[in-house]
Amino acid sequence: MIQHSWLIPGMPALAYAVIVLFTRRFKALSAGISILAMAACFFLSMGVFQELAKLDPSARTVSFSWTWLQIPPWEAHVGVLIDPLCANMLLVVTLVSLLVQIYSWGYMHDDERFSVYFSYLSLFSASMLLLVVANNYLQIFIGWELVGLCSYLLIGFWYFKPEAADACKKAFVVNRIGDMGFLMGVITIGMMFQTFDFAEVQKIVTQGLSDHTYSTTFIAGIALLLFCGAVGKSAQFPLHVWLPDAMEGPTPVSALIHAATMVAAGVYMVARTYTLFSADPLSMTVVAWVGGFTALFAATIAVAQDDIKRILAYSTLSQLGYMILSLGAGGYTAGMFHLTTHACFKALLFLGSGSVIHGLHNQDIWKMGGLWRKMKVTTLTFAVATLAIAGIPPFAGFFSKDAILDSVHNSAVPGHCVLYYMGVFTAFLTAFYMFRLFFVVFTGEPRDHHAHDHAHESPLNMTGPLVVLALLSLCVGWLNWPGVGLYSQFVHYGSVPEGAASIGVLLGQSWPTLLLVVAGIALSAAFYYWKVFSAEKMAEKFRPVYLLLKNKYYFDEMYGWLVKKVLFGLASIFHWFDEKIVDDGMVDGTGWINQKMGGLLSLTQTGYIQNYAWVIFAAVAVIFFCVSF
Amino acid sequence: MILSILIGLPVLGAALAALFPQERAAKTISLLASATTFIFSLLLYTRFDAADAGFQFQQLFPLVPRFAINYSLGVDGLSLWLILLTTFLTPLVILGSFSMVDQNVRGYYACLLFLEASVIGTLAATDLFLFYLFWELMLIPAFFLIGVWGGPNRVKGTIKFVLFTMAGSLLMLVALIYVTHEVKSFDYSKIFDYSFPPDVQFWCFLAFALAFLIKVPLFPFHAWLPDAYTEAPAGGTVMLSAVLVKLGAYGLLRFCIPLFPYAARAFSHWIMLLAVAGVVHGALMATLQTDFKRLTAYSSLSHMGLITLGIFTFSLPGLQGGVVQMIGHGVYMAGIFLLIGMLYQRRGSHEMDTYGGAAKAAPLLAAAMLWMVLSAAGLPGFAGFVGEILILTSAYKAWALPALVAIAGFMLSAWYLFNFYGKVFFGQARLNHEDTKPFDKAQGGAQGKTNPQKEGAPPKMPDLSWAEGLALLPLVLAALWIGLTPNFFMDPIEKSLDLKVIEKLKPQPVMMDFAAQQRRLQDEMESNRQPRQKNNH
Repeated sequence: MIQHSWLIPGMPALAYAVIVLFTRRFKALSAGISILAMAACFFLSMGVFQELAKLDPSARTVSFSWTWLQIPPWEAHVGVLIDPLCANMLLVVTLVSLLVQIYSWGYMHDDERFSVYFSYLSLFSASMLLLVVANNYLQIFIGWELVGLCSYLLIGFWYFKPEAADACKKAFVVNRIGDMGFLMGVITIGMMFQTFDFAEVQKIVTQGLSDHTYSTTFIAGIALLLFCGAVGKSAQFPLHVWLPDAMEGPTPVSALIHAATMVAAGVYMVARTYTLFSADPLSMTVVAWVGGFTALFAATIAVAQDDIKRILAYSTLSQLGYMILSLGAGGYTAGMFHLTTHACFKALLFLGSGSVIHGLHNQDIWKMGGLWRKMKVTTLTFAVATLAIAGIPPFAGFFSKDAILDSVHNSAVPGHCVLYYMGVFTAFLTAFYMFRLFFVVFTGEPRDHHAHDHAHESPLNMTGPLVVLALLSLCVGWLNWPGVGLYSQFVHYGSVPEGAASIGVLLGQSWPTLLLVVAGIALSAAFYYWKVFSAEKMAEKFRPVYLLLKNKYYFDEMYGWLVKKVLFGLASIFHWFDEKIVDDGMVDGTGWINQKMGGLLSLTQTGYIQNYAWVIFAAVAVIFFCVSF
Repeated sequence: MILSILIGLPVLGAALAALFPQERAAKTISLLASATTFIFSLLLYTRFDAADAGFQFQQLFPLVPRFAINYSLGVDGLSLWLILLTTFLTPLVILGSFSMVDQNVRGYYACLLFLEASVIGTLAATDLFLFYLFWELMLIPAFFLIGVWGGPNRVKGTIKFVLFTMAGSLLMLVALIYVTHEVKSFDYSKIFDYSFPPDVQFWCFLAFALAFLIKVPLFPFHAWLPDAYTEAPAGGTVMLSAVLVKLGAYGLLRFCIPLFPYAARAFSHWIMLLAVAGVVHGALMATLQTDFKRLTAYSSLSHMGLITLGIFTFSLPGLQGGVVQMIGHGVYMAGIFLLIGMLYQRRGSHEMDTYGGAAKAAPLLAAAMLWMVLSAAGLPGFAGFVGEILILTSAYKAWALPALVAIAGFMLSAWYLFNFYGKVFFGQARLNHEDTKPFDKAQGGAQGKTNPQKEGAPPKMPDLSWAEGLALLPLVLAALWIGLTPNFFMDPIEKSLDLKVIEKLKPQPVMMDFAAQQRRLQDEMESNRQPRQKNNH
């Protein structure tokens, strides 16, 4: 199976080509090809996983590659690296892709560019899987850029909406800023180590660090350049601004790309290049603090948003922040585990919100309400996901989030205590805003009766994936059941991390967090279910805070100002240079000099014969003088 | 013989196209002539021996025996791809122009073919006199293309373009006369083997380099570029941006560096700095433009800076990256400017604000443009990426700080290209056409036919016609091909670049420094190196 793993990115790529070239006119056929390719990928990934699990834990790395580009002294390869980290990611990506594609069949059914949509989805899966199986830095960069392209195409899928047109450009450009650092890092690696290969770089770095050929600060510098890419792709502070806007794309796209897979690529990349990151405390500290800050920062914004998808987007930011925080704090397994569980419940949340939007044709939560009467499956699955993300046992989020907080608690990163409390407080906020969303949308009385009357449960091809994801959101966490820890034994960096010995111990150590989470839910219920307090009055009372949160700390405005003043200011200096120095100075100046010189010379052209005769006489005299002496 | 045929066929085609009275016949003849030229030129690739760094397909007969001026042609790795690029692009430009040009049609195609012939001649000449002859000949069709079929400000654009280029070439002529006088031969190979003293190299390098750097153009000699690109008709802009400017880079590779290696090394840092300044300058200027043809012109300037940067790293990956980037740049710039011509032909405007939502009306056109924009933005898998990464890597190795600035400048291309793309193709389709003034025929010259719809009526935006699609398809495929199999393009030229450029740059006994000579001899004995390979002809 493993030797055929190159087919995993290959098949969706083929599906893309077939749809674009041949079957664009046939909607069902295009979707069928795309889904079939994805299903094959999923089963292949299962096979790869099984085969890998059978191997001895120390031999679970298989890598092979082909030469793509050959310029002595270095070569660029395209290859496959299968190890537990990759297998984990493969399963997540192929499974979510498959479910989202099935769901899309129902969701996008009326769209006239249905085939194009599926071709983009296939292209995205191919690029994402190319990134996941990459065995070298150049290939991961290639996949990285290609998923960025697919994200651009899919956010802008409804390009005729001006918001979508702006959002896709913003996503691409902001990502490109991060990629700039990433590219610099990749180029530095290629230059310093003469190879792009993960394993070889790891070997060289480990060797170089032990015999002090490279200073740890230097390695940390490379790691931080790479981290710029992760900050862009995983939408961490301060490059987080593109992700909420990316919600202009179709909702299944948000579920697949902007929640479960692509945005997690940054986390995956950090885990993949963990040798570089863990070489120096500096890089780990930066990573942990960026992640921790983003987690809290985004959670506070999510509290004051009104758009169902934007709330989920900020929640994604916050959860990605958790993962990054975990990796920075040394919790490699915990971070990847949260990536896995998050992929399930966040995809479910987005698909559930898609089901709501499909039924209501609206995204404002204040126009919803009481939907549980009309949409039983959606409500139930959404509730599961909400419990999972809030971290209530035995749902998936509880296990992974607790592992993260535990690893932060035990880490050596400076200020890990503060980070820990930030994480705990974020968990409280998460419970609050997620249940706020749930209560407002699904319970109570309908706010917009007209819309409510038209609301309906989604077709089976949409609810089916919801149910599957709901089951996963419940069960995936059990992979790391305390005392058993199947997941920890499979995916780890260095030694297997020690978790709690039993479920009792786990509950015993995590009760303060749990208490806060329950308090968050209760507070949310008090506001939005029982309506003991009035949210409006609170917002009125703390108006400045509310406005700050509602306007996302004015980051969009700030960046707008930066672009307008700084970038365009710089550009206008160059423009001035072009206009005044190059054009007026050099071009017109040359013309002016020629004119003036011509004018001077023209003084000799007097038109008087005597003058000319004098000149001829003088010249003859000079020549005579020169020749004779 | 092949090379003479490659020069002769377009000239013949030009003559026939000009002679036949029917416009249709002129179109057919020119398309046939250029397509045949392309097919013939494929022989160059199939019969090219990559292991041979010397000139191949040589042809020689005396032109002016008294001064030892010969008609001598030859191809090596430096010129191979540029000749093929020229023969590949010309038929596409001709096909793409079918619906764009409707005045003096016969003259237009004759000019294009004549331009092709002179470009091939420039690239194939191995005699310096012949080279200069073709180099100056190129100006004539280019002059007419911009001046006759250009946009409203075409006169200004033409004057700037011609005067700038002339100024550079005249200095080159002076240096060329000096050099040939010194060597007593116009033969490139003889001059190549000659070592000039450092002070001579210094001045000759400057004179040659100025001519080529104006052609490239390198910042700050680029003042002709935005006007010439913007005012030229679409076909002319394609030839300018995709082919003509490459001859500047070719000249650097062929003459400046190998003939005056000492001076080249001395000046390399300055030129690298200017190249990086060009990358950033072009990118920043492009962000300010509202006219998308001008925007693309500046982006072309920015990317040419990258090519110069690659060449002046003096490393094999840098040079190969430079050449691959030249091919890639030729292909995607040709695509972008052709598409811009097609857009202009539909709406009669280059202003981004007058477009919007064009993807809905013309999905194929939008897809083709996206393809080219992605190539230009250096997305992996497309033409721009390999050259970019090779150039940046070797530049980084040669001199890290400017390379980092260049990376930043290059990354800006995503900004302005996607801004342009989004504004033109995405968003709401503009139904009222108030912003676009109806195109003034008297002012607009040859392009005045466009904007067929009446004022106020919803503008029509037809998708690609068959001819247009056929002209773009090879470019689309080529952009992908270059991105996927770059080694196909790099292998045949490696030997020539290595022996004709890199090897020349290694310290030679040009320095009248006895100690240095001694050291070099010792080095040579120690490393037991093979003596430097002479060109074999």
